[in-house]
Amino acid sequence: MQIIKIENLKSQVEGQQILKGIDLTINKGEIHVIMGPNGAGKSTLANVLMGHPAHEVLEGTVDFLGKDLLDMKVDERAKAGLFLSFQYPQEVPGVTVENFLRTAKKEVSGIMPMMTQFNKDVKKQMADLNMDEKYLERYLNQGFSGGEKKKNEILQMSVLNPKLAILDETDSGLDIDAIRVVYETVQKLSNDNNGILVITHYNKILNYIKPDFVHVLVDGKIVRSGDITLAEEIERTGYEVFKAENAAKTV
Amino acid sequence: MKLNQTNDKTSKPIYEVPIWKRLTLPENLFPEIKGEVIEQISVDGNGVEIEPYEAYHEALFKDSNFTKHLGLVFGEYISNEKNHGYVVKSNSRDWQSPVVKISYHMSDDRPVLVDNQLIVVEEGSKLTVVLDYLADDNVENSRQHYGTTRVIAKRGSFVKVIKLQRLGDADAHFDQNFSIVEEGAKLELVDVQFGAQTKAVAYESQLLGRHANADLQSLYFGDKNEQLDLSFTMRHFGAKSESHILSKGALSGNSKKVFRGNLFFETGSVQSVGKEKEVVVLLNDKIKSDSIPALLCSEDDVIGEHAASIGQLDHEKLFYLMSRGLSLEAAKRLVIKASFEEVLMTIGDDGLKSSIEEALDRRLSDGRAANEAREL
Amino acid sequence: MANKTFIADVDRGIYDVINQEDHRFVADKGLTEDIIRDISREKNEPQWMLEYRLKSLEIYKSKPIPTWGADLSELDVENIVHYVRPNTDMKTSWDDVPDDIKETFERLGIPEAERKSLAGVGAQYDSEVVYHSLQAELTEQGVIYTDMDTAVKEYEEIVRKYFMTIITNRDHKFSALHGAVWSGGSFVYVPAGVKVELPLQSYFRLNAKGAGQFEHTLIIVEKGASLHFIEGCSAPKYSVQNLHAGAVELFVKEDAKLRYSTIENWSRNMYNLNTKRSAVDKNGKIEWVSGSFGSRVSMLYPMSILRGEGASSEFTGITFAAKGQYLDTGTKVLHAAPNTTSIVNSKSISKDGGHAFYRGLLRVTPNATNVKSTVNCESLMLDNRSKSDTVPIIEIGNDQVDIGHEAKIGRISDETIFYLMSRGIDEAEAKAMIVRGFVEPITKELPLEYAVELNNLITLELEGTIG
Repeated sequence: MQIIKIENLKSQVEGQQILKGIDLTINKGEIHVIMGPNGAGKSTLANVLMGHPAHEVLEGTVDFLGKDLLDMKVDERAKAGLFLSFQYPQEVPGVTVENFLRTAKKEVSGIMPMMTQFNKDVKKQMADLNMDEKYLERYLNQGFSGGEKKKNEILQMSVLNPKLAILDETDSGLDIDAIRVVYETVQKLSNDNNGILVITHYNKILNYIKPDFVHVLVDGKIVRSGDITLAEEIERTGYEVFKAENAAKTV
Repeated sequence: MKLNQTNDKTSKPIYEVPIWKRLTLPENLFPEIKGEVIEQISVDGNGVEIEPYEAYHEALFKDSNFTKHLGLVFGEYISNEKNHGYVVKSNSRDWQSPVVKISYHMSDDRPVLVDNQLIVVEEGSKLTVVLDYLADDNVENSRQHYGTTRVIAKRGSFVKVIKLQRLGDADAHFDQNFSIVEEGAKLELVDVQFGAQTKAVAYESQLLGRHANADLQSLYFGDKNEQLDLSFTMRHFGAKSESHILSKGALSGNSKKVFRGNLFFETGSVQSVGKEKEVVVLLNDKIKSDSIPALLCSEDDVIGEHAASIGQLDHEKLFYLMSRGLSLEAAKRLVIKASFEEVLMTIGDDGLKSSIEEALDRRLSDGRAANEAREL
Repeated sequence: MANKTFIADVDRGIYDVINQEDHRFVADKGLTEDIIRDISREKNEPQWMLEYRLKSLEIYKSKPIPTWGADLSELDVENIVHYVRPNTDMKTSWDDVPDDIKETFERLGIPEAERKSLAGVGAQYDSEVVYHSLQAELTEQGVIYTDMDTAVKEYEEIVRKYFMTIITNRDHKFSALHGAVWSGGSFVYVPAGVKVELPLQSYFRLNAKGAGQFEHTLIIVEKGASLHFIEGCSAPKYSVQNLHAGAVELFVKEDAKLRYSTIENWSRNMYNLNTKRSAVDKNGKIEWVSGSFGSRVSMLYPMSILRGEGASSEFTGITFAAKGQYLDTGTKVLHAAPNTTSIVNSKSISKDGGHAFYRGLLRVTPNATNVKSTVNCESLMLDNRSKSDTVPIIEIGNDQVDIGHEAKIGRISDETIFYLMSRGIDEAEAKAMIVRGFVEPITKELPLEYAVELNNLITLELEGTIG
């Protein structure tokens, strides 16, 4: 069963075109990985799907669980079950992590969660991520190290239980142990009813999650799709081959 | 405060010395002009036109649009009594910016300099101007410099103005600087204050056009009984305009300084960014440091920031250097020089830079000796 | 160009309650020596107080209205009736207080507060304190909490020692006016070593048309003692100008600690020219928590005088300037002794043509060595019809200092709104969350009722800019 179908998606930001025709389908129970060189448009894809105001969609459609995603406001997309773990999460001074989690949960699930049970659940999820409980009282992302911010994103993911989670360079800024903990959690959160799209250029995460599909994004387009063996190929040869392929195509 | 009173006998204007709140102005200000001082001018590069500043040039620039200046009396005196000044125009689009250097040497028999300068850089053109105010060392006779420099940075131009003040220990320096920065133009200002007993400077830059950019770096060293009043103003009118003010200085002896940073965001200066930063190192217990960093904002879609840090040298740094064999004094000098380097390196001209570093070295090593002498 | 959203005004609801005028004694309009004598006689004051009032009147008449800061040219002080006293004498029990006065206070929630086991409530109504009660505990500990008029007579020695010694009639025109016509206010004396656990709270009320508020608060916290005092004010709207020129003098002795929390929520035609100062002795600590919301014009600069070695001051404040308001607020810290520290955290919000002006002074005298001070000012502007100015003055008189100062002006960032919306929070709520978050460091220092009210005050009207 299909969660998302992206067809011929093209976008630009500050007058420059980044996405040049993305086609991608993710079904329930699948884990997809997108890899590619810097500047290829990986983060842009994530931001465009979430609805970042600076990015303008030029062409294409995105069907999300039967709805037109591009027609929805940002918060409506979240309520529909889309989640983005940001590469650079924003700091929101004065708003505690706990307060924020409860508010988001209420908005996305439509029900205000019961205080004590919610608190218990969150603390358990924090423990699974090796996150100190004290973070609940801290202001959202303020003063958090890069790694702590990323863990906080994954914590939100496990609380909000989305239908499709896009993880944008979640491994950057994390040490080896943290990467393991985060991606093991992600693997645990993957089930038959949801989908996960991991954006990375770091191969090692494949030690912790088992993707069903691997795509290579070069210059705003997906140039090759395959399975985990594709990732192994990239590790051996890098992106040059794909860049050359892409260049040849556009000639 | 009365301005131009006329003395009936000689019908020469009398300029009344104003009373300032934070600095004590000496009584012998606004002297009669006695001839000209020695000046040197050099031009390196093409596309530059230079002519002497005459009265009719006043029509090209409206001083009255600027409000953060030294005061009306100073303005009058500088306009009426000028004995030096140039109009420097550039339409050079060379890759390397042409450099115009003007230096003035004051001495006991040529003790007064009143200069009016106008710098105009045409659309898409470049220019660097260095104005160097020098005087040999002295203890008693006071030489005085008064000046107004006006800059028009037209659309897309790049302008750099470096002002160096290296007067004698008993001298006075009063300098006003007004700039207009048009669309896409970039203005860099560097102000170095190393000499003089009483010095006051006022810079006001108006960022009129979209994407106008102005950067001001200020450096000073106060010692003995010096008094220093620095006023730096950036006024944002144009959308997406950007300004930076960085003022770094050290105070020793019995010196006193006032820093005034004014960052204005007028309505319409949407998405502009303005930042002020002041770093002051205090080297002696008898100093006095006043700072008034103001942010005045009538537009919400901007970023305005100010940071000030006032105190002693970083003890950790000193300790580290001493652990590598430097004496405390040598370590202090090194840390201060390193801090000043951030501004000095924007000067670009190596010869100029080294002579300033030399002057700084001398002050840093003189300072301590002078302090001790006074305490005895 | 992005559409701007706007934030609705403070809910004036429960505070705009007007009672019929019912007063026993109304002072003549205009200030003369006779009026001063009348006031003093009515209060039955000792001679020295009358003399001080008369001297103050003299000084007041000789000084001009200040021309810096807010525009006070429309303020005609002489026409304000200064002294009004309600129909009752001092009461000790809530039940004995007359009904309409009680009603006003009921609406302000005082009985509830009492039930919430606050230590005592002193409530001023038209220049006189009508009612307060003190729990037995406090009396046992030797803590004195009464109104100023009573204190002048019953604790004459203490009052005389401290009254108008840090805010004097020579300071400025309005402190001179205050010295001449002051009336009412709270007097708190905490003996050495006593730590008052529950916060003491006090209310003020302005009711008669054109009456001025000149209450005087005097708090003395003796060696090693500690206290939290909460002052909150409110007044209904009138077309006649209203003036508030109160004075607050706080004495924090050696090793003592005082936290002084205020919400200024005067109605939109008030001129709030309050003077607050604290003198802090050796190792003492003063904490100011301040929220400025109401009034048409405010000029408010709580000042800490750190005169004892090791003394410290902490200021946390929020100013919210909306349509038609000019709020000129800030804080002053004077480091006059060695090893003193200060922290200032000041935030402001301006919207709808409001003008917030932060004016701060940090002064370190030559003998105040080893001083550490951190100042942080942040201003949030919600549209470009408003103005926000920050003019701090830092005066340093010796080299053994560590001074850090930061100021920021800006608006709510689109990135932050996007982040919150990506978690399902709609735009209006996202902005409200961000503004509440901005204000949070102050809200968390306030008593619960105020914090809740504050959060309720911030409601947003929606206009989508994202999504």
